[in-house]
Parts: sequence; structure tokens; C-alpha cells
Amino acid sequence: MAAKILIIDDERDMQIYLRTLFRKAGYTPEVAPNGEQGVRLAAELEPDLITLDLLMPRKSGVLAYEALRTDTRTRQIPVIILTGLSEHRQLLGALPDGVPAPDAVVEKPIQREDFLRTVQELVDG
Amino acid sequence: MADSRSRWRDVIPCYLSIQDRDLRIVETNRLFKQDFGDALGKLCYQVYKNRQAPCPGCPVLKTFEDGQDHTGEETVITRDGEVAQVMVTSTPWLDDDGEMVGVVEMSTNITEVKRLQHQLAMMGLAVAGMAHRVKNILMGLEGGIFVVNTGFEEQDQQGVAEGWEMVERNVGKISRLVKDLLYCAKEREPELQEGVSPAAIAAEVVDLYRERAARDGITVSLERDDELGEGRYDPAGLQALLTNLVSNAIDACRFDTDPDKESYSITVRIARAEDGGAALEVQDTGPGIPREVSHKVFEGFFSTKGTEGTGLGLLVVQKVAAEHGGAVTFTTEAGEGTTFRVTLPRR
Repeated sequence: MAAKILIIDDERDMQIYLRTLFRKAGYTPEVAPNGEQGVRLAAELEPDLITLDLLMPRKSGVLAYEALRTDTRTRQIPVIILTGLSEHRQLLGALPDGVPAPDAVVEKPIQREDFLRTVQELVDG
Repeated sequence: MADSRSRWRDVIPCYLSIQDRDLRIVETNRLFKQDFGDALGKLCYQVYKNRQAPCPGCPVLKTFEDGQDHTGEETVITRDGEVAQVMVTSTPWLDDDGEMVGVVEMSTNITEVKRLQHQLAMMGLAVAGMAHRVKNILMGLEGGIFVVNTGFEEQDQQGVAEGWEMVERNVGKISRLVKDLLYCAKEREPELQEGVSPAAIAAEVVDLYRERAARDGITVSLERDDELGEGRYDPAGLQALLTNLVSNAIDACRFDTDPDKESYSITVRIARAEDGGAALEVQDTGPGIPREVSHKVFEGFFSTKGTEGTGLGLLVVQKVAAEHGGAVTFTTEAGEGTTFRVTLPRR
């Protein structure tokens, strides 16, 4: 069965792009347009991987990451953080104690081949 | 003859002075007198900088110590209170026996050179910022093309349409960026027209953003004072100005990190100023501008919005205001919000 990937991103361009990219690469993509829905869908679908845009309105990228890492149903799912230049250092630097670092951080603009390789490695576990 | 010969020092475009060992000024030229007043007998550090002690790294003191020439850069304050940057050269003043009796200090005003230097540095930053911005739009275009191609390969009409939509959106981003850049870069004559209503333009802008903002829990409203009618303005400029202020306010609210705030409001006020001109105000209830960046908001290519910001918005605002002979100010309070005010005098 094709691995499931949950895309949490508020930008329409990224949603379309990642969804097409993942589907073409043989995965089953699902999209959540904000952090709250992303956390809910993650618990519901139990995807094999989550890509999370860090810079979303109302700090919801960072809050979603914390929630994903706290919930027992989602804490084992690998997360790739997608981010613009360097803002992740600041935002992820302020994570509360006990919240582990993401499995991978990918800076936009993404390099398609490298990105898909990272995705495959994490899905394969 | 001797007298006219000594007048050479009054025609050189530099500050010239001679200091004794106590750093008291014993001779000055005309330019020095013009910009620093009659300083004879006074201490040089008092005259130049209003200091109570010699300046650190003083080239004159160094020359007194080793009898050599020294140079340095200093910031001085003229008697009109103007700050000037000067390049200082000090050289020994010897008597007939070759004994050092003073030091000649020659200062060249390099304020303009320094300003250009700063501008060049800013331009370097600007180019880097542009490159980054363009790279992100390119990614959107490339992504769009990828989606279009995949749609064709799979004969998926909807995929093609979605990809094409991405291409169009990113072409739109480039054209907005170019427009902002042209506003900032060019010495353009504003296209002032009679019969332009700032309130009508504000209403258009508010309409344009109302729906998008509502999705993020932000209410955008317009308060217009009917006393301000039509006037002589550049309509495209006013639209760019208000668009930038409103979309900035929306972004400020959208990216607020305060967990207790559920909703936000943005109020655009258009009123008649006391002089009969226009007073435009955009007030938001967002997080406010942090003190550490508030002095940078009008700097080109400064943005706190990561990949989304061009760092050009407020430059455009400032430029349009200046073209109308007006000005931009803002007040901000942490956690309470920010208000930008633009005044456009009556013309």
C-alpha cells in the first residue's frame, strides 16, 4: 500500500505542488490548510510522514509541531519542517523542554530530488 | 605680500587649526571659524565634540608623542548642531630650531562620501534581498510548470488548470514586485489629477482585502469623513500607498503569536486635515512593532516576513507621501497594535 503523507501548509501553491509531487512519486498525499486541522488529521489518518510549513498564521506551524510531538498517537510520525530562509532557527530554538527536534528541516525553495530522497528515507524509517 | 600669502589657508576647503600641547587652539582658518565659531584659546575636543576630555585615539596627541603624521576619522558637531564626519590628518608644527611647538590639524568633511558608502552597502543588501525574493517566485513558477507537465502526462485536465493557476499567481507576484521596485527606484513625476477622492480609493482597497482578511478572523473597516472631498492626487500612487499599509496591517495580525487574541480589527480612516489636505490612517490591533526593529521599518528590503515580504512596502508608502509633499509617521504599542498616519497637504 502506498505510504500516506500529510501536508500541513496554508499556501495554496505549496499544497498543489507538494500534492502533485508526492502523488507522482507514488505516495498518497493529504492536505491540511492550517495547524489545527493538521494535528486533527494526523491523529485520524496516522500518516507515514508529515510535512509541516513552519511559517503559518497565528504561530500555528510551531504550535502544530509541539502538539504533534506531544500527542501519543502522532509522536512517532516523522516530521519534515518546510521553511523559508533561516526563520526556523529562531522558531525552533524556542521549543519547550522535552519536545524533540524535527526529523528533517528543508529550506524553501526545495530541491526536488534531494527533497524526495529525504522523504523516502523517512518513510522507509 | 606676506599677508596675502598667508591667506592660502583660508581658501582650502578643509578645517585647519593648530593646537598647543594642552590641545588649545592657537590658529584656525576661515572655514573652521565659519562652522565652529571663534575657537581661539579653547580646547579642541570641546569645540569639535563638546567633550570634557580628549577624544580616544586623538591623532593630535599621537603626533605630540612621536612627531609623526597621523590620520583618523571622527564625527564632529558644528556650531549649528549639524553632525559631520571628517577625515583628520595631524602633522607637527616646528619652530625655526626644529622644535615641535604645536600640531597642525587638517580635517576634510567626508559626510557625503560616508552617506554614499552607506547607500552602496544598502544597495548590496537590496540586491541580495531581491535575489532571494526572485528565487522564491521562481520556485512557485517551477512548481507550477511541474504541475502543468504532470497534468499533461496524466491527461488530467484539472491538474493542468491548477498548475496554470500557480504560474499565473507567481507571474502576478513578479509584476507586483517590479511595480514596487519602480516606485522606489525611479525619480518619477507623480501623475497628479484633479477630482481624485482618497476616500473612494480607500473604499476600493478595503473591499479588495475584506474577504481575505475575514478568513483569518480580521475585520477591515473604513471610517470616512465626508468633509474631505476630491482633490489633486496621484490615484495610482494613493492606491499603492493604501494597499501596502492595509496588507501590512493584515500580515501583522495574521502572524501575531499572542494565543489570547481571537480576532483583530483594522480601521482605515480618511479625514480632512486641519490645513484642508488629507489625513490617512491605518490602525491595526496586531502585536505592534518590536522596539528593536522600529527604526528599520522604512529601510529598503528590511522585512520580518521571511519569504513573503519584499521589504519595499513602506518605502513605496513613504515615496508616494513625499511625492504629494506629505509625510508618514507611526505609533506602536506592544500587544496593542500599530497606527500608520499619512498626511497629504492641500495643493
